[in-house]
Amino acid sequence: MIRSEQRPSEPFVAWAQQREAARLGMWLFLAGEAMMFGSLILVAGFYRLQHPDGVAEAVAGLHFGLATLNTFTLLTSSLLMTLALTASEQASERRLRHCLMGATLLAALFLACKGLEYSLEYREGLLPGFAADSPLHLPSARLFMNLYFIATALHGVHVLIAVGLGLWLYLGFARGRLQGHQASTRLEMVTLYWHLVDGIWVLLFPTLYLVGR
Amino acid sequence: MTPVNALKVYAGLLLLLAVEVLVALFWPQHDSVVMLAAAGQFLLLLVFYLGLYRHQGWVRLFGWLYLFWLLVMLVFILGESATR
Repeated sequence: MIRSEQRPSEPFVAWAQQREAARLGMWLFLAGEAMMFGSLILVAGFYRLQHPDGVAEAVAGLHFGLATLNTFTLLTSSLLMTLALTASEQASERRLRHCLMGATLLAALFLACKGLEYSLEYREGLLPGFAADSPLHLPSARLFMNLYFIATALHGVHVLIAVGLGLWLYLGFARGRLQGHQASTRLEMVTLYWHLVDGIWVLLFPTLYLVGR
Repeated sequence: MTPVNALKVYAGLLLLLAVEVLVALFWPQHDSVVMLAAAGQFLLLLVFYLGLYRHQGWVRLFGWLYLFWLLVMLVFILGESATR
């Protein structure tokens, strides 16, 4: 007898069909995300060409050491998600759970570092809207800080969602609620999302922190 | 992807990160090297971690779409700079 959770959801008749549909939906979603962040990165690049002095002033005040640590953290979490997917294919549940928890903790560490960075910038009066007297002299530098804040905060929300998804998957596996085809499909979709969030940061990091220092 | 290959890609990503940071610290005038290293990292993620190399059909189409978008950004920025 086939248990209901071992059957694909309606209207699909086969797991392969459901997984293909899930992949299509996920890649469509990721395409939208790539376009949104791509536009922000494009604006930052264009803005840098228009106002090199203002951008250089703003970038010099950013904590690029913390941002480098954050990049390392996200890249390592991506590796762990890939290893979790591999463990799932090899039916190694223990390794899968360890990798998932590791990736989730690293993403949480990313958010903690980002919070620390924001708090430092708040104290220094760099964050837009929080200080009456900004240490940034050029208006274009203050405008770049607006863009920096919007782009990194938006990305931070995506990382927060990734942390939630990682925890949800971990608890699902730990409690045995996620099994079989359903589990592997959900893990694959979360992994795709994770890598794209990582990929976006990989482009945001040099655009905001490194170029034009 | 095997764990060994995943680690190789990870090593490549870290190497490119080191290149970015070192160039930004010691040769800040070479911005294009920093952005090329970042594009290399994105490419590695897209091809190996997101799995562009093993998928066919529309998954591959979306992958090319992402790369095309990167190219559009690059052409736009360089074009704007050259024609100013």
